[in-house]
Amino acid sequence: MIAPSLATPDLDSDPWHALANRVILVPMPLVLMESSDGVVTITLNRPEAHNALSLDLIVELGTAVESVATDPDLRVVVLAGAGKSFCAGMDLKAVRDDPVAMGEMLRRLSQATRQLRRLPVPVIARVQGAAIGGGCGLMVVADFAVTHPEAKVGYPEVDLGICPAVVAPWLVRRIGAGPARAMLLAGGTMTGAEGHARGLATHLAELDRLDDAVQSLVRRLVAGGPKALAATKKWMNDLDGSCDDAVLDRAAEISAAVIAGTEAQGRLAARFASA
Amino acid sequence: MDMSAGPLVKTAVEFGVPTVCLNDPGRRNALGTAMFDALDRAIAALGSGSVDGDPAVVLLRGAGAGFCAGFDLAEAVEDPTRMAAFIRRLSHLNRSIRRLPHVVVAAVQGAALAGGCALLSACDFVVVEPDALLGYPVHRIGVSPAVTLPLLRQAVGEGPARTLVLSGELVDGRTAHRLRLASHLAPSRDQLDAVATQLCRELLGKGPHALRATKAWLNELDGSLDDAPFDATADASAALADGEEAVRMLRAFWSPRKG
Repeated sequence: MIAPSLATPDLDSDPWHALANRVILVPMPLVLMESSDGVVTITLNRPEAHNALSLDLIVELGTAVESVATDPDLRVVVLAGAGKSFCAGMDLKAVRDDPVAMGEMLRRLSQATRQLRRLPVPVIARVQGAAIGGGCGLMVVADFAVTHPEAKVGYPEVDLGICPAVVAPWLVRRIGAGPARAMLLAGGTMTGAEGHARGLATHLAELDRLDDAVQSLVRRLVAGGPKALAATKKWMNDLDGSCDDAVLDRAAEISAAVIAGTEAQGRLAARFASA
Repeated sequence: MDMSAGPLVKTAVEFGVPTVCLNDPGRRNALGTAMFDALDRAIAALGSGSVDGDPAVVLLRGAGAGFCAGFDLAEAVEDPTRMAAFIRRLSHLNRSIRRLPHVVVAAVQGAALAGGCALLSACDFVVVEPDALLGYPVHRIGVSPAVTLPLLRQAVGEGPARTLVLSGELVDGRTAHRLRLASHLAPSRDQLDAVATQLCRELLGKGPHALRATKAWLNELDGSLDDAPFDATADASAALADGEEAVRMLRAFWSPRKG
């Protein structure tokens, strides 16, 4: 270790400087939580990246969902995104050339989606701007999704050589096996209006009325018997296989294997090079 | 690509898309013994292709006025044991289409009835024209469309599947699209080929490995790989077709049409 030169002030030993340093270096939380009268809003908070799902963000989301799951006063969860977009999908650019890290992100995303699905209260996704790929997966795993006509939603995974296996089970349950097949194999994106027509979103409102639409849905859900809602949601989850971990684990492994292949890595490299 | 799959089914590469074409327009592409043989051969030839260098997409279509009018009833009237055989062959053909590694797109003009309509539920995409005519009008010949149910339920959901097979009602292309029996609606019959080949070309631009992996996973998720429901429904339909009621009703239905 090199001793600090006398000519250079030892910044770390200056308590004010160290504090200032810490304040600057401590990042904003990637997930914000706000609670009011049993309604917890979980907000993805990477607006500068359109809330792209980095490994850290996915882990924080899982922690946030876990922390509310046992709250006896919880009645409704609203899942939102800070800034212009709900969620632009997996942040694969940050882990380019690292298919192992991509696989880990997919496993964590699979975990986070089932935690959301298995919350004992209704979950509403508030979708502005974009919900793409894994972001569309978060929208569709929610019990309700409110979006606006100009939003951009969908699953362009196959365009990038990626298999949307992790999000497929939730889409099959939301819109049915046949329509899910046509949507996932066709790739691409669609408007919020079309996404609503095809069943991705349950509610459609103008962008400036999005919060009103969410609030009116929250009011209706809060009026329901919490035990009845919890029992109903649990029963729907049992009926449609939402609690089947073997299938969901396998989904993550399939996505991880395909994303590590030469086709996906080649297409992702080309996409990042042109971006 | 084998260009000699038999005159009843033409296989060719059109616009870079392997195409399987039912080619017996004089008999409205009816599914008889020879047609099943030819289709089985064409599908088997596709299935053996390797991933690399083999397009990930197949177009299925029918030559002439309609896609496929269903079973060859002339053959069934002549030999009443044929109906049960047709049902079992349809069940296996549907499975082999669904389990192809390729993404399958069907282009449907005119009639796709009974067995012809059942083939569509095995495809990943179905493009129809507005005046296409789809449905399962088989009760009038004493046959149950149960054989189509495993795939039809996946395609359109429980409720609509129930309505379609119990009513035997025919629906036009627009209604079929609304019911999700078809994934795409061409604006007119003239534009059917253009819409279908455009869809195929778009699909050919996707990652072929990703497409195959996604289709395989969807097959696993929705029960397409599970033989039990296919066998059970084929058995139920076949047993009924062998009964006295079916034989009598088929003769009554067919005799005024002969000659």
